[in-house]
Amino acid sequence: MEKDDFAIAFSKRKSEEAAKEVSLKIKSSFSKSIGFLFVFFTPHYNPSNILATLNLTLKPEKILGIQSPFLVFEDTLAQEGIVVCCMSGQDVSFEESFMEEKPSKEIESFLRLAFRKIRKKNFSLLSFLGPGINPVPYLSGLRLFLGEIFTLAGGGFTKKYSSNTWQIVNNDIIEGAVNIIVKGLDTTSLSLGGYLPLGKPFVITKAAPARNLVIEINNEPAINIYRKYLEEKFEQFQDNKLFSLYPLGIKNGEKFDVIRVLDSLADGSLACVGNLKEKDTGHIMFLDTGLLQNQIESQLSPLVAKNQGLVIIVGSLLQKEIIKDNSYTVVKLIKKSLGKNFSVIGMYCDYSMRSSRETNSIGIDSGNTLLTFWQ
Amino acid sequence: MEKIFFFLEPLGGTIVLFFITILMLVMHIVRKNKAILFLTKERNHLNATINDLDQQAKLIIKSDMEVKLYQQEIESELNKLTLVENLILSSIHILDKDKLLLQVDEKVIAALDFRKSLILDFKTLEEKVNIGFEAAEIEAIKSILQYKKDIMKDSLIVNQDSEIYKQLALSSGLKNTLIAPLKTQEEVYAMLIVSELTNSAEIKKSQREAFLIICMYLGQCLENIRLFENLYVVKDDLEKKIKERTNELVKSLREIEVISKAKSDFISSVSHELRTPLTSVKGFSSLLADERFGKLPQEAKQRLLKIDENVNKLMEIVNTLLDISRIESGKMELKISTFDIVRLIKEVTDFLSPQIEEKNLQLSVSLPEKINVFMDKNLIERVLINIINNAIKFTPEKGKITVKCEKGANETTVSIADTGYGMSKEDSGKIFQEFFRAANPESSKVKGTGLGLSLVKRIIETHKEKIWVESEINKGTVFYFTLKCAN
Repeated sequence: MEKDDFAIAFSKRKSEEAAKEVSLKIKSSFSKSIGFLFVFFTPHYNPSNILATLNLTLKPEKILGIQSPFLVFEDTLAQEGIVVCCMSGQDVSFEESFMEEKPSKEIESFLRLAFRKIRKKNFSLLSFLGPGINPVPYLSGLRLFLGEIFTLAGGGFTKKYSSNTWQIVNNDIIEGAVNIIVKGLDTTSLSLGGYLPLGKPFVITKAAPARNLVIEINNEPAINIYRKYLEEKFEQFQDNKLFSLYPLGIKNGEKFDVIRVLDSLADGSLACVGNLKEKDTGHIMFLDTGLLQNQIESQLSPLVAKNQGLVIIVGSLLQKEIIKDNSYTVVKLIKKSLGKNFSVIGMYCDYSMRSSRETNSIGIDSGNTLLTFWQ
Repeated sequence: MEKIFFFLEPLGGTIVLFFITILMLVMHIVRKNKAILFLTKERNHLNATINDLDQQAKLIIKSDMEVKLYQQEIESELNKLTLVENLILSSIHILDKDKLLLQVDEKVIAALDFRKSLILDFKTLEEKVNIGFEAAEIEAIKSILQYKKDIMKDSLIVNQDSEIYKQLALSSGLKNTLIAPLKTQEEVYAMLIVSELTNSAEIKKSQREAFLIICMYLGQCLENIRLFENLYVVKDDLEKKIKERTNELVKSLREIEVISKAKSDFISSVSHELRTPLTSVKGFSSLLADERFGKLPQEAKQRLLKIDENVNKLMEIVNTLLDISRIESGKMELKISTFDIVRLIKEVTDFLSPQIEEKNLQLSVSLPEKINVFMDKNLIERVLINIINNAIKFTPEKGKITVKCEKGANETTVSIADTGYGMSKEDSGKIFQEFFRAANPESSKVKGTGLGLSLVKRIIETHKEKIWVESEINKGTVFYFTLKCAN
């Protein structure tokens, strides 16, 4: 994708002024007709106003809008604002589908309808799920109807960060799930974590993946893994619900898929978000900011010389919660490592969805930052 | 033997082979055992290392958790402090209630992680500040709160379990709402309502606490404004009263000045009018007393002399009154020059020595050789004559009069002390008033006009110097006055 095939803009003005400002910025920098428009916005903005303004001023053929508590624009991490990315429709096609919040058993039928006509080759899928959609049956449905050999990128929320979690799909404003099938663009993805595995490996001896539960670890109630490491500090840990600071890491080849622990149940099970199944081995994970920064530099710097394009970041709210203000430094470092050849936009989610070419699989990760390269 | 050897040869080889095999097996087993022992040792070592790492992992997690907990606490407190600090900075100088409430703006609400806020007047439910609430939502809030005002009076914040929130959610769909009164010491002034979180799905304890701090701070500010307004009203009142009294005093002063001027003018004109006929009377009475128009009987001559004496006194009164009035009206020309006060005192004491000797008084002078001062010589001479004359008049026979002159840094002080009748402290304060005579039975027998000291005071004041008196009944009186030194 050439640099003039897309444009990005950001505004942190109040109310309707933000949508007007980004519209003006896009208008002044992008001369082609807009085939597709991404908009990421924080809960401070009314999605109806955003939609009305963008439709009126930019007249895009298609719009996808995702609400998120934090946004990324180039080297900035913003708590309030609107980020917009527009693309021309030349040689690229977008096909969108969406559903309102549904019980897990209805997700499959939606996916069957959404993808019945699709040719299951050479496409990328962008997916964003609201807090009312369980990602596990969703991914199962994707595997069922699309197979595992496609590029998947996206993210979702396990809980609400404001009164509503809006999504915009063309002229509709919903709370649910949104899919975009993209053809004609080469997309790759990369995960950045900075996690270190601590202590002895454990084995998930009993789990309920459909309900996102780890029931037993090493044949004991799952909660005991934390009791073992925290000893006398365990009660304080549990009272303050600090599970998210020390996620679980499940071995996936050479890497670890990070699983966020949301809460413990009365029977000692752990409610989680992420890929998990019985007999998986794993460790308690510890996020080292220094390691994360090294990873960013070592993995991104080699890309700079040869490539250019758009990078969409699906940041991890778990990672942000752990490293706090260092998140701002991380975003700056990502942009610095990518250089001028790449334009960077993004948002933060509770988990990212991605595909892995090495393992030919799709899955969920709650702790790593996902970078998708659009070229 | 050969047969046995021949028979045993193949068997021996086998046995040897067998033993060699056994030996090798044994050696192999020993080697394997050694390897197993080694590996077991390594495995134990690895296990120990893993256990150590596990222990270290525990330490890392435990200490990291403590640090993160402290950080969270500090962050939470810091956020609250920053929020309050920003609000204080923006509102500290505001003395208007409506302006104060306007400080609860979008930034403050956003810092509390809410999207909407509303401030209603407690009594009238009038909208004071609205950020983000729609008209229908405001109506719903008003309709619920108008019957729940008692709750506001008794509490700092409406409890989370309160029916109010449930009713609000049902009637207007408002989620995650907090309501609190803004109270002064005397009353509830307004109500602050915030709603719709931007950063979480539920209201956290820290958000509630921050909201409560804001409400309490606003209440304190409102109380300060109330006190200031009261103080302002009192001050305003006081200022008005002071202004009125000042105006009255100024008016009175002007009236007094007018009257005083009228009095001076009257005295001046009357004195002028009296002077001419008095001069004529004096002239003719002197001529008659001198028997210029023929010899007179002794009795007539004595009476003429009496007339002459009284005319002189009248002339003295008229002249003194004229002088006083001239000084008061600024018409008397002051001729300031440098003169030796010591010399003048000596001249005056010499001039009055006959009266002093006549009364058998002792005169003591304590004077330096020379002191040059700035003065109008004629006027100061009159001052000295008046005061020393008074000392002579009011000191009984065989008394003492002491005249001193002391030079200071910038001024010279002249004192005239007598051992006369003295006067009370009350009379000392009035002695320089016109026509005033001290109420001492002894001194009231002494004749005088009561104008001399009044003139003396005016002369000294015209020189911009001081004059004062110290006295005690039957112990005497001391008059002091100052003059500016010339060098």
